[in-house]
Amino acid sequence: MGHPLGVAIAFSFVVILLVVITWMLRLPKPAPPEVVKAIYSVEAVRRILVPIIEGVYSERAVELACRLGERQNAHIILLHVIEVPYTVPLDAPLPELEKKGKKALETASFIALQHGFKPEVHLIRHRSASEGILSLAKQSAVDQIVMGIGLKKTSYGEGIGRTVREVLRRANCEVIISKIPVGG
Amino acid sequence: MKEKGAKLRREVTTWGSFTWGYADVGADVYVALGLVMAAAQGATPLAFLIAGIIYIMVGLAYTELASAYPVAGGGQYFTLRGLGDFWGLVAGAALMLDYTVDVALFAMASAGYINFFFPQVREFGMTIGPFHNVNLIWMAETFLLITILAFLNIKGIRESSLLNELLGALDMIMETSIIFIGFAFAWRPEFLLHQWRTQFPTVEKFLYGISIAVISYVGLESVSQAAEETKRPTAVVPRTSMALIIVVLMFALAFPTVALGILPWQDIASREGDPVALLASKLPFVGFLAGPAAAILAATIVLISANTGIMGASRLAYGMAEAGLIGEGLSAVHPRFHTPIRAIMLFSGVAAAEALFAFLSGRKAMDTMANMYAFGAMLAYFLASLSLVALRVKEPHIPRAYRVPFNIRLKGIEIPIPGILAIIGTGTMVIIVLLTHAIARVVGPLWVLVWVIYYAWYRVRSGKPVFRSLPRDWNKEQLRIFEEAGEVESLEKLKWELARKGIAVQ
Repeated sequence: MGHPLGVAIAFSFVVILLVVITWMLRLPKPAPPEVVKAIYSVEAVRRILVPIIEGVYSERAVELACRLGERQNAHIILLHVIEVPYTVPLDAPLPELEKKGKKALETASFIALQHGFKPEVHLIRHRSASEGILSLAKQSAVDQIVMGIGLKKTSYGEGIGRTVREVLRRANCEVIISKIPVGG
Repeated sequence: MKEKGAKLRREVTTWGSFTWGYADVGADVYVALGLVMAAAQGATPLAFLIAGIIYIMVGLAYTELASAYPVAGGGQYFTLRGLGDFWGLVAGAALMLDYTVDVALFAMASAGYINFFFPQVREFGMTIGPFHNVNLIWMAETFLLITILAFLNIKGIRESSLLNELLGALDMIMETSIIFIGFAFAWRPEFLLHQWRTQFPTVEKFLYGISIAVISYVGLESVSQAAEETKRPTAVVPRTSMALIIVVLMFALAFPTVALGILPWQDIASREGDPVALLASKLPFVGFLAGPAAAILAATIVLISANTGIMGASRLAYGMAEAGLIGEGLSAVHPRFHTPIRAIMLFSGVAAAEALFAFLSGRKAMDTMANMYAFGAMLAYFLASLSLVALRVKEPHIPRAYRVPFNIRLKGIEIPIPGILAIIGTGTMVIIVLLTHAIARVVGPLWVLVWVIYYAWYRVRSGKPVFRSLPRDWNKEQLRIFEEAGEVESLEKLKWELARKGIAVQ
């Protein structure tokens, strides 16, 4: 044997070479096209809108949206619509509703921040909550709307309220409804 | 016989893609070691290291570009897309110089090593007009080898790739053995340090050495050229390119380091034709086998490098013709063999003409060829590095299976710092080559000028603009590229990106 440094270099050279060649040749198996399409249709979701409609269900929707958008580092948009009755002007002072909306958005933002997102927050006024949601979704070119609701009896049938039904019916993007039974 | 519209066939495997690059490199180190040693003397490993750092930067750029744009053309295509038609032509001309010189130089060298077993042929010489000592037999052997390789390349990429895969594996084993035995049994670090301290070259010689050392690293380009015929290119090309960067760097640094720890640099420099053979002959246990073994090793390495040259030149011409930079007849693909037959024949002929020039010019031929090689490589690498940055700005939405790391964000666009360093490094190397290489300074720019004149003539004749680029729908082209490559993931990604940006593709 020669110089110890030479021996060390000789062995290191061979080992590194073998490791590199082995790594190169061990290609991961390609996923079937239909699997790729399914995976990418989820990965392609880059802008997620979460309308804050009602208490705990909406907060859970924010958590879901953050988890859905985590891998592709999606942009989270949080929205609360103050529904202004037709009987008062659109810019009429509604301090209670404003306060409630701000509070709901603060809680929702906190959840998003916990996941490392910097959410875009909107508190808007509109005659109809569904119109407000749909108009922001279009304006912000969102890929997905995530809504959390509770199961309850309404005049439109069981579980789904007017706002959610309208959004489901008219949205041009993917809509995910997280429906939890009351008390669930 | 020939059919316009027939396509290249995807038959290059992962190992095949790697050996297309390694084939070039194996031979380049073989040739460069003696030439660099003659210039950089005791600092030869440092010259290879500096050239290697530039190579890493360029290599990363090529890895990103070749995985995003897996089409024939390599650096020429990236430049065309990033900087426009005119600069695409300039990059193509520079690369064509490299590939044809590669074929001529290495077919000549391979025949020379075969003649190791036939000394009478090696010594043969005759006078033809003003040219003295012309070895007609060696010249005929060279032409025969070029013809055989051209035939093999016409026959199919599978056949030519198989030759590279087999010989590439054999060469890697033999080169590794030389390095292993050299370091483990014969290397003396104190002798290396002594030469480093006492035999350091002048600045001018050192710069010259670096500019020759870069030819050891020309190989990534071949991986890009074969990308259109590589199976699963967006998965394979980044892996083979990254592996090639590491492996080539290891060999390029190991050879001069081990050599200077065993032999004085003057001995290696005096054998510029076969420095590795000399090194092998000084090794314990295997030294007695060194002569014939090294001759066979050299003959095979340089032969597959010549083979790579023919593949590269023909795919480059194919790509340029497809892009409307040169006569479209050169993009004709053989209906049965699916290879660009006219491009193979034409540029094998150009390489044979260069070999003829080398035989007539005498002993300076190898140095002259190496200079031209360095000029072509550095100019093309400079333009390709510029294109990396240009394409990050122009086409940020194109899916990249690999992205050059360490980016700075400017107005929402990620600019790769290694790409900027590659531009500075290769730009400096172009200047060094022009300052230190007397022949390359004249012949290199002249070669590019001839191409530019032809290009201007062709574009005017065919009613196309000379300095403006042809209108192209790159998004449509990219969808086609991914679709033909069967790269479903990249295709889906691009479709989503285009839809999100509201870009309609006809």
